[in-house]
Amino acid sequence: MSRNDDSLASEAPAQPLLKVRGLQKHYPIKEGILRRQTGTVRAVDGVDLDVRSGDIHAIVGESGCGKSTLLETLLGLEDPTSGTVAFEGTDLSSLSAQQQRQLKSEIQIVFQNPESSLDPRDTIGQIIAEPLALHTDATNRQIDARVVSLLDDVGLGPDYYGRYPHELSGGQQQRVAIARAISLNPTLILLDEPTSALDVSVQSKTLKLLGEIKDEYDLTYVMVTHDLSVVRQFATDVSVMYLGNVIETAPVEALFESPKHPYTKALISAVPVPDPHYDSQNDITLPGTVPEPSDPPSGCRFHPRCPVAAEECSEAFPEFEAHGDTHVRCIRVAEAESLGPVAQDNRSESPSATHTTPEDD
Amino acid sequence: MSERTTSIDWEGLADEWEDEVEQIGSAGSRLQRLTYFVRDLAKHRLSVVGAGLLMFVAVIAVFAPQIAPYSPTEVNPTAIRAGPSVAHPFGTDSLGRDIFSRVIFGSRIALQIAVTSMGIAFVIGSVLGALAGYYGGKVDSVVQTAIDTTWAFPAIIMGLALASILEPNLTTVLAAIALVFWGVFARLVRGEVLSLRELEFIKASEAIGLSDTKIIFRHLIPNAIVPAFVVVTLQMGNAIAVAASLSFLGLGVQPPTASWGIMLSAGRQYITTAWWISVFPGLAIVIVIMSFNFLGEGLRDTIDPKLENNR
Amino acid sequence: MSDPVLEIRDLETAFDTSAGTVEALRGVNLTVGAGERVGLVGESGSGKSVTAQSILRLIDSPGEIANGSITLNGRDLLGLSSREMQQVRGRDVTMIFQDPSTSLDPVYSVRSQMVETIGHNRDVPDSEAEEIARNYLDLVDMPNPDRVLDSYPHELSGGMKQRVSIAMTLGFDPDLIIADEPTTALDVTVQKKVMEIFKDVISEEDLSVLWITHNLGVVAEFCDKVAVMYAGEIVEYGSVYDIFDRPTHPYTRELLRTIPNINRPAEELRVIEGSVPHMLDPPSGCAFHPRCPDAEPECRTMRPEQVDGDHHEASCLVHDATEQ
Repeated sequence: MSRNDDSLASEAPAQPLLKVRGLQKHYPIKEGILRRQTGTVRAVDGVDLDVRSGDIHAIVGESGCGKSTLLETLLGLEDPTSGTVAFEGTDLSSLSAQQQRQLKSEIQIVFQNPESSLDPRDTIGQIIAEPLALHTDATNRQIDARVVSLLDDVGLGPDYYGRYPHELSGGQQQRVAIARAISLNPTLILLDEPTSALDVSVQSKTLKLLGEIKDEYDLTYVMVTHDLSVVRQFATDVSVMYLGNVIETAPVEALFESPKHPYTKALISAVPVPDPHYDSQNDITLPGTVPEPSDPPSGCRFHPRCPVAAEECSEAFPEFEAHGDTHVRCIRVAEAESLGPVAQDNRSESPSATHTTPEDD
Repeated sequence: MSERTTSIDWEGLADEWEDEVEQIGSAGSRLQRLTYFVRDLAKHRLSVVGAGLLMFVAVIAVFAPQIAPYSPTEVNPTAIRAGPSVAHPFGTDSLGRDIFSRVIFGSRIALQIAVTSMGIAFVIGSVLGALAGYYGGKVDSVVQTAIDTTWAFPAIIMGLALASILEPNLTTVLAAIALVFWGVFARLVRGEVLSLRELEFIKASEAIGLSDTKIIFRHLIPNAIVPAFVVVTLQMGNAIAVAASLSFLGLGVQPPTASWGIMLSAGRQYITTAWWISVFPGLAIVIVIMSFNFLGEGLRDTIDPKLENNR
Repeated sequence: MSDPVLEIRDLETAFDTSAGTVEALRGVNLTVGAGERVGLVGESGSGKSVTAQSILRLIDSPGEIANGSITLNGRDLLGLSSREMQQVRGRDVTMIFQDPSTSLDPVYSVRSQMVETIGHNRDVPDSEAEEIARNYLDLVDMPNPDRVLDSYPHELSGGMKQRVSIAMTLGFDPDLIIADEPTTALDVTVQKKVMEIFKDVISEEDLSVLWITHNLGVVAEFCDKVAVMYAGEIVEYGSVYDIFDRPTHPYTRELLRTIPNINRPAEELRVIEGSVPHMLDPPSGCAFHPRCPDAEPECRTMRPEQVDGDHHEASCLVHDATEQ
């Protein structure tokens, strides 16, 4: 399938909600008494992204890939070094300070650590009311009503209004954070590892809530996570990051059924499978460690650790190539085909299939 | 504001959730939290003693004119350096003034000094420390330099230096103490702000669109000054000691006003012959300092575990 | 069957807080045999970390081990003096923590820390300790052992620090290693590597491992026996195949259904109703009954018998492991 405009989406009838092109965020490294710049941390080094309305777009990667910096830049907490971020067609850097402030009511965020994302000295009610008081002219009574209704949306009773964050469990705190994020009825919500800090059984509850909220409020999600199993379960599209670049982007099933980039294959095969019968023989183990973002390898950033790298890989930085619905930055896709376990073959009967009980939720 | 935000049906919500809104009482919880805190503090016997003594002293200070049997400046040439008696429980000084009354009135000066000077130091220090911690860079450098400069000055030297420039009165003493101690709070609050700044609720405030000022004053400072409260209490004792020393040297309150420090100083040469002139004000100083310390320790032990407790 | 390395019977550990008594462990039975890899699985509040701390007798006031016995290679750990216990820690049983920074002192080089601790725990001179350190660093596939020895902890990545932790722990030559979420904080590719290395070394040295985690994928890949903990008790124990193929306890079953499997396409997200109980006030009868889809009336009043911790068994009044 060819691309008619420079859209990365396979079908691109409408304009993407969020369109990122060539986004870069570099941090200078300053050393010495005179604080002279000795290098640059290239945290985000050229990211292209298309998020359509209604998508749940997951951004996955390991430490140092730049996914959190990317999120902060999208939110406006950090200014990009270069590149463009367009929201609903409008380039964010062209906005005035006033307009940027208004944007807060359209793009919101849920952080990773629920406990530290809530001011410990404020009550739950105050926390959720804050954005409402700041951005709208509603009266206190009206705001309180909205807060109570939001609490209900996230499954908490009105009695939570007067409680303090430390009185709540991690899962409940995350619900409060979600309620705060949707309070202004935003369009897009950025999720930074929303379930990583939570217990296993609470994770699925939180994801379920996020799914319900998304439908009820007609939202779009961009979710940063390192947990690939959650991605397969929850996302509609995936972008894989390595050392500041997106190296593969695809609809979720395409990514897991037939990953193209060797790093994606390694990443997927590294996830431990909750099935003792699974034969991990074909799993790919990567040599070495992730290089420093201040000193990335030449050409394809992944080539020093890549099992199928060729000479050309160190010479030129690969552009995106389309393979069906997948777009991948790799010239060795064909050679990588044989790497790793094949998704279908290793799909064995897991207990959840044989032990389904009649009642469903 | 986006279309979606303006589309919120405020009145509809207010009607639908009217009952629930009635139910919520946010004030209750804050009061409850305070009650728990006081209850916890009360478990510390020493701090209860300290708090009690301080309240006692405060009452004395407020009702000094009613309590004291004599005016603190009333001279009585017939009873010079008289020992403790029924008429004069603490004896009299070199001018025949009743020491008991002077000690009572002296409590006003002592508390004034402690509370005012520390209060000023606390406020200035906290704000500057918060700004330094939040903005970093040049602001931080400037504040840190200021802290380092005043840090090096012992209070006595500061007091003497100021006294030579300004009048050697109470205000000068207050200024001297505040100047010496503000750095303690600035450093403390700056440190707290540095660690708090990384926490996500600050980023969340930014994400909501709060201005820097609002973030600093609504979220950072209330959280950052908590440990400083303990320090304030513990330092109050210091303030009194410093003021007493300065008085001793002739700075600060001038005679005939009764301050414990002056009284201590005045009684120095008579320590063997008329011990009561120094001893009683000295005891008063010790008691007040110890009370502040007891209270401060109790606060420290109560505040810290409270932050970890699930209540 | 050779004698077990670790045997825990009727362990009860409680914490006396201002809010009341928290019964963190309410009667735990567990056996770890020689060369066995036992996974201790549970969520927050299940008691898995407290179990590890109890074995090492690291429980301090206001907590205490109220009841039960812990035997290591036949030796009663609870009866030892604190000096004797200090010897046991490090020589016979050691612990690897989630955050390797906990076991590595930032102001000393890796070399000095490894040499000092290995030398002390194995009673050997420095030169020999360094040899041992280097051997184990090789064993954990450390790329440049000499360079690592010269480094300070902050110069190493998370994965490397954890490998140093493992090398150091192995260097003590213990009989039992307790690993508390050792790979949770690591990237998934690093985790895979660390797990592989750990597996190889364990089998070579015939060590026993108690691996504490909440990640069922890790358990399936690494462990041969599994103990599932809930509310201070082991609610099911069995081989890793028993637990995954024939889960008996409703909590185990529900838990397996909520975790996503990366090899399967998206399914309806399953949820366990209710939430984990606070150990200040555990439910009466069976601790899981308020959330259990199969609960019967007696589950509310009768506490099911504890598992023995040495064969496939579930602590449940309704279901029996022999059913399948």
